[in-house]
Amino acid sequence: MDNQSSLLVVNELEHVFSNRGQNVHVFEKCSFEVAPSQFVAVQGSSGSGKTTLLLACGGMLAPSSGEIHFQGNNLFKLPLARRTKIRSASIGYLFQTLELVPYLDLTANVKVGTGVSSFVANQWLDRLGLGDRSRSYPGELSHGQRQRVALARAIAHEPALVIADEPTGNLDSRNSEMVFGVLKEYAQDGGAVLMATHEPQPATFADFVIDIENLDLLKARNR
Amino acid sequence: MNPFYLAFRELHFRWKSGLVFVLVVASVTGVLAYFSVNDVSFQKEIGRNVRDIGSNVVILPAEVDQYAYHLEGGYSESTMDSNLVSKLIEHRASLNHLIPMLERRVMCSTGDRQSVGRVVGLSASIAMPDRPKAPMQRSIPVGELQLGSELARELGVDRDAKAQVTIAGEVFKVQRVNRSSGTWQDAAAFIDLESAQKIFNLPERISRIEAIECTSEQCEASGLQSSVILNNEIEKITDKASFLRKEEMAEARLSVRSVSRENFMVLQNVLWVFLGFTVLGLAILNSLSRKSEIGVLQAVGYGRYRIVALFLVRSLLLAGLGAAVGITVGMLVSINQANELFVMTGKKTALDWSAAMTIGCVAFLLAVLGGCVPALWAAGENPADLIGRDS
Repeated sequence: MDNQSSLLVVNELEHVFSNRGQNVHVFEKCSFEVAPSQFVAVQGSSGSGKTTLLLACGGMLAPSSGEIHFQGNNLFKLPLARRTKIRSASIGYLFQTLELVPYLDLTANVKVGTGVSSFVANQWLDRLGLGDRSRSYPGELSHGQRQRVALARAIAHEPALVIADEPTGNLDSRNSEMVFGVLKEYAQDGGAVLMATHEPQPATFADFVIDIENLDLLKARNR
Repeated sequence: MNPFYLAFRELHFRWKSGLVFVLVVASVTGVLAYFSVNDVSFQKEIGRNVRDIGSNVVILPAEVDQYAYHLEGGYSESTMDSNLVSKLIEHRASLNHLIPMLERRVMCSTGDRQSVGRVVGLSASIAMPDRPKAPMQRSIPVGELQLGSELARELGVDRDAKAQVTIAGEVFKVQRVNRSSGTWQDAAAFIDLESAQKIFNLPERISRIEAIECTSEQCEASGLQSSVILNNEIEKITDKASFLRKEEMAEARLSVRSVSRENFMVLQNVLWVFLGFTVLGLAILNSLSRKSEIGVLQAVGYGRYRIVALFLVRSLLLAGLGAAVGITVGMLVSINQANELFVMTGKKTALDWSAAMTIGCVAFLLAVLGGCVPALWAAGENPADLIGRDS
């Protein structure tokens, strides 16, 4: 895969943080590329740096060294405002902690920041089984329902890349399947998906898997 | 989604925290407004009270021997030209409430009783044109007279009786018998100045001018004592008069005014600092406690200035509402209580628009600072540095 066809190019990425005077290496020399229509899984145990890697790929956390190119732009060479604009238009991010805005109803939560219409936002809520809760607030929903709202927010503006941080964590099998189904379908329709997971067999659904603890690219069978 | 909509949604959702902000700002601005109005009223009341203590400066003809003057209990037969009053006004002397007087010890009689009284002709107190004040002494109608309590007793005039007193062949109707003051005034009769000049055959002449000094500003500016300032001024105006300052009375006046002013100033400064800390603190706390939310908004594409606008709108709305409620309630309460607090001047207490504007503007400015600066700082961070890191 060359840079021209890749949506996201991660090159020699390294992240170190200081903890009580000691440098902790989260990951070193991490390189990979994601092309449109690819479903990429990031695997690793808890605390291995999956969230850090995803945040860096989403332009939200400056890595200690290395480069991240998104749609040809070196993300962390861009001013903050430009990076925010790119994220708004072309990246959808599903936080592990969901981070819904508590004072906005579900429709507004899906619309916030992305500029999608209420019609589109409600369509997505409908598709994710929350059509009748569009006027509810996040605090009135179960965790599984909130997870689906966060997915709708990440995907409704049809970004080129959806980054999902353990989107099925704490979900029952029915909800997990629904979330996976939507993400897989999104990738099949041309959008790229980068997803952190601790599912035991990520290769069963991902085009390739990044094992963050070994940083080997595991080729998966094409789906 | 525009910042106004977001701010309104947030306020609607977190109405309790908004209400606390409004109530705290209203309380502090209310107390400030209350004290601002009361400060003005208090100064007026103090001014009125110390004014009623009486004159503290006496201008006498230059030839008066002050030893003899005091030996006679503050009495002299010497006179000077009454146009000195006009000169003092013309030269804007540091005086106010000027009362020109002409006096003589003469026989007063009523029916079958007679007694020597100190008859004083005086005009209404004259205010300097640039220092308008309510008159300290009202004019006595021509043909009428006010009697000191002891002289009235000598002449057998009752407080309530309608009597007439004859002085130098002129008949005066007793307007009132004054309450005992414990001074020479109890043995005096007061008539209007022109009548006195006529019956004593001393047209355009006066015995003295009583006044209140207004030298505090010059004293502060020049560092000179009040008596030096007044002496310099009068020397420039005329060489036919000298003055004496009733030191204890003058110092008491200055002391009462400055102590009251300083105490109010200290209280107001404390309240201003409290207002600053409260508004600034609440706004900063709000911004810092929502760091994570700022990160999320940034993550979903909200730019720096839209985030700042969101916090600005919130702070301005709440500070504006709090200040409006506080200032209105504070001022209305102070006006409502003015009659009880300020017996002499309470009725004249009015809304202090200048203080209201100042308090409102400062509250607004603090809200802008407290709301914007932390939000501007937070919005300049990477979202990942903010999410999950509320202070």
